[in-house]
Amino acid sequence: MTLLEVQDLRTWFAKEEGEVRAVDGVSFHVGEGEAVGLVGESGCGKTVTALSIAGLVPDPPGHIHGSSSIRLRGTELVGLPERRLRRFRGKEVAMVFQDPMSSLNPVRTVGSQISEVVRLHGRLGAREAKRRTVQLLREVEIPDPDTRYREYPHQLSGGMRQRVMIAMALSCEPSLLVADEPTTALDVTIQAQLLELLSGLRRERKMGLLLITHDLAVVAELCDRVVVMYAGKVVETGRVKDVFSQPAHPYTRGLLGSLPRIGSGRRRLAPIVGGVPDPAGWPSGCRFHPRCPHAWGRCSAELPSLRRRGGRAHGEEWTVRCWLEEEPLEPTPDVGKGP
Amino acid sequence: MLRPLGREVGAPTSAPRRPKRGGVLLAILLPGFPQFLGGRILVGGFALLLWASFVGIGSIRWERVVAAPGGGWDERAALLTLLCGLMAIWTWSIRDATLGSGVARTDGSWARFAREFGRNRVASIGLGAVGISYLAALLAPFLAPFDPAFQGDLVVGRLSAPSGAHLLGTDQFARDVFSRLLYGARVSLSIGFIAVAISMTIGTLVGAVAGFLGGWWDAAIMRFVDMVISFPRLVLLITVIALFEPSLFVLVVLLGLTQWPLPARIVRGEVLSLREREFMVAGRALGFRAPRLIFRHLIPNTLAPVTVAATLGIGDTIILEAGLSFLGLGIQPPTPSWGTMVADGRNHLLGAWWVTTFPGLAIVLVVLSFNLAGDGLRDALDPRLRR
Amino acid sequence: MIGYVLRRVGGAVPLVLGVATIVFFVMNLAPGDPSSLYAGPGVSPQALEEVRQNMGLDAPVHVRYIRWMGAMAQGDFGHSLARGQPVRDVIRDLLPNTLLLSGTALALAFLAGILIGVLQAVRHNTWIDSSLSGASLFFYSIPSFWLALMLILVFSLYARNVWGWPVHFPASGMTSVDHAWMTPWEQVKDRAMHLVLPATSLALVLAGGIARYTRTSMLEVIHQDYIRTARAKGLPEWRVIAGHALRNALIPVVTVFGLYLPLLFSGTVFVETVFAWPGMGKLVVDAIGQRDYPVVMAGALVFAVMVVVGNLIADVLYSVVDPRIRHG
Repeated sequence: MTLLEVQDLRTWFAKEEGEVRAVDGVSFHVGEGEAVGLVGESGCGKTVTALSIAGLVPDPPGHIHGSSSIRLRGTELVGLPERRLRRFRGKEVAMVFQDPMSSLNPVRTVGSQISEVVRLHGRLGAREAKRRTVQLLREVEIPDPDTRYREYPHQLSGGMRQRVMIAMALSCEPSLLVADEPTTALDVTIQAQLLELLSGLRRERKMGLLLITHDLAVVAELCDRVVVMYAGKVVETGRVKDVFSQPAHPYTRGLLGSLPRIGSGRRRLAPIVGGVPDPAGWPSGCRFHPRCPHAWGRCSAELPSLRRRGGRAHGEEWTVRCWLEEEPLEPTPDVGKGP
Repeated sequence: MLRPLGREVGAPTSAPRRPKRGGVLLAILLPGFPQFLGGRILVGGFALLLWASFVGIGSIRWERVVAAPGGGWDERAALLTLLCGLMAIWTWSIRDATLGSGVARTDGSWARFAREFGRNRVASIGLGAVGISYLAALLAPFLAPFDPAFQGDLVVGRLSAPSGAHLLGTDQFARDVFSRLLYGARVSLSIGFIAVAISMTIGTLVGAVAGFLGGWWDAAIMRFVDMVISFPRLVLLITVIALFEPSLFVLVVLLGLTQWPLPARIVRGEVLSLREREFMVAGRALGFRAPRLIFRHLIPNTLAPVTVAATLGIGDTIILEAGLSFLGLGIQPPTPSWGTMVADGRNHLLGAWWVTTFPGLAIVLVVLSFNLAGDGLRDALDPRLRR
Repeated sequence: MIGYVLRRVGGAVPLVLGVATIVFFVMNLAPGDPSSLYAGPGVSPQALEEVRQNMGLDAPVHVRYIRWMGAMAQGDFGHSLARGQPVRDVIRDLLPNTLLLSGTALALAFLAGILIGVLQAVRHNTWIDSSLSGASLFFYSIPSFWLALMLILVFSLYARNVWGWPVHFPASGMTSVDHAWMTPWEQVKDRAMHLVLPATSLALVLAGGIARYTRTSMLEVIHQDYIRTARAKGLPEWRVIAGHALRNALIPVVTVFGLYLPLLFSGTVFVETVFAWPGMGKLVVDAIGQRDYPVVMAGALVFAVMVVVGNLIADVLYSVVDPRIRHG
């Protein structure tokens, strides 16, 4: 059974300027113990997708459409009453947020914030919870965990705080960890350490990981598969090695093209022109067409569907939403494309 | 079809202005009514109501109005208020009806501020109520059915319950509570206004100087401000008043002199943040002198928070003045003031609740209006704060 | 932590000295000097001069200032003219009554104000929020002396004499006439009954303002990232509010504690006068009527010192609530 199955997720916000379709029909899945990267520019709906999975979309103004489906090991989470949803949050689905500076409660000790989760879901006594918390702090490689237990967030560095967040997330052995840009706010050297830690802990615990980031290098290093989002929709999904070596969607190509690469000579960076459109009014047709270098007539008129690309050789999971994919009237034979 | 005369959002300013004859005629006969029909119910209704009551007062109290020019200052002020009020409503309504949306389209910061404030209905009502209470105080000689000092029959007219003859009853000297309430409004409202004007002036100057000079001066001045603030204002006031004979003048000056630390703090905070902004640095680089910088550049930029503090401060001051008068340390009888009126009824609570209740209610309503308006002003000036 | 408190106490000392200075100059630079009031009108110049010498008023201002500060430091507030006993003894008798009244009122006000503010923030933009907003602004706009009279009118006079309610509250004093003959339990009940109306009239006015502060502060906190973290843990909403949001929201409310003390004591003066509550406020008002200047001066000083001490408590509370202050 797949761990997480998101189907046709639509999370809309009722704002003054009208209905904002932040996430508009997103489908993907995360297998047991699999690491999936969710990438895209800021403002394309990644964070809202993450919040929707945890049931943390503020309602009002946000609302998850009734036709959407989020299944965790077969249990439908959309429409589940808050009381039952709470049992999944923190226990089955844990989250690590972007900014460790503001994500920890400034007036409570680090220890009390972690042991709170342990006691809530693990039904442990105070003494037992403390022991477990110190052990967790040790597991995320925080030096001197007994002292740190009694300290407040402001006494810790940014990297340490994010380790605390990870410890908190791991405390109940969740089956899925949703990490929303976990390293963006940190220094580069600390980023590497944290990613190392995260990937090690994941493998140890055979935990599913949904890593939300705009840093493709991180995805390349950590993830098995990648989901590329643009303007509230998935534009390309597939195995990291496929997508990154032969990006099919012009947007994915653009994202990869705007990365500097070591060893590729003094190639010019090719940034995508323009910015993410306003979610209150997405462009017609393919939402990427105003910025797409290959756009043609059909692109502005009709929205392409998500089509499978390649065959068995690519794990049957390479899909693209682009008219260019449909255009070559004769489908390219699989043999010609193998690795 | 009725075209909305009011805000036509996005209407091109160069659109031909078609004078609407019917609208003008209606505006002359019933000012405010065209606006009311045009959809601006609150503004139009307010103008119409005000106009109707002015005309009503003028006709019902015709003898008093005619006799006013030969009367005392109170009567002359009332007459002036009546005439100016009528003229203002007419002018506004006719101009508004002929020009239509043309006037409202100016997009200065004041116009934007007024629109922002107007959107807050509760605050607009508060401001309207403040306006009405000031008008009532000014028009008291025409409005009041009795002279505030007039004593009725002490045997039968004493402490009589509210009735047709005495709207809000009579007090222990058989004086009409409603009339005294109207005259009492003059004391409360004028003291509140003048005292706050004094304290805001002092506070702005002190705060601006402290913030501008900074360093040692700032520390010393703010230390002093802390000290004055930590004194319960009432205790300080009654200590000082105990030394003087309480009078209107003494009261106004003392109330004004004890409130300045709060605006001083606000202005100083504002100035500290303004001081480092480009225009100040530029001013200093150009070699402007300190007074010029303070008066021309700093103080104008702090007017907004000071206005808010002033509006809220008037409410506090009115309560304080009423309290002092209640203790017998404020306005001295026979001048009617709301505080003394509350005290008058203290010993007759069970038998004549109206003597104490109505003046207190008047204080609450006026202070509430000021607070509502002040809240609205703050929200309109700083949209960040609104939720 | 201890260092922080000591620093704050150190900062309060000059404040108290400054306040004493203000009291001195207010009383001494006023037109006429206390001697004429002391001796009464129509006294011969010789007698007046004698009084002046007795009071030490013939000395230059700076000498008198030093003497006054010295006396204050020793707790010597002079002799009450009206009561014929040392001012210090009068204060010792009456100060606890004021502290009881204002302490009860303060506790009630903060309890009610914080509860209302939190409720409003949690039910933001609903009819509950807007009606409670209206109510708090209304109570905030009421003069406490009038509210006190209205409470007497309804819950004491009309409740007992007109409507005959089973429960009504006494309208004046701290205890009933027959207090001394009551059993200890009845005495406690008697005192509590006498406390209800004065404490309520003080508390309601303050609670309005506190609720407004709490609401704003709580709304700010509820949108913070760590509240989202708390929800992501799977905590029930009430634990998110009580365990994570409230304590952060209380930080600015503690500052209000310091700001509201002058307001509280001003209210105490009125409420004690209305309810004939034997405390410092009534003492000062009575003393002004009796031209009992030593009492007025001492009373003013005591009130100011109470505010300073209250602010000190607020500072300490601040460091208790916010660990970031504690650690520097």
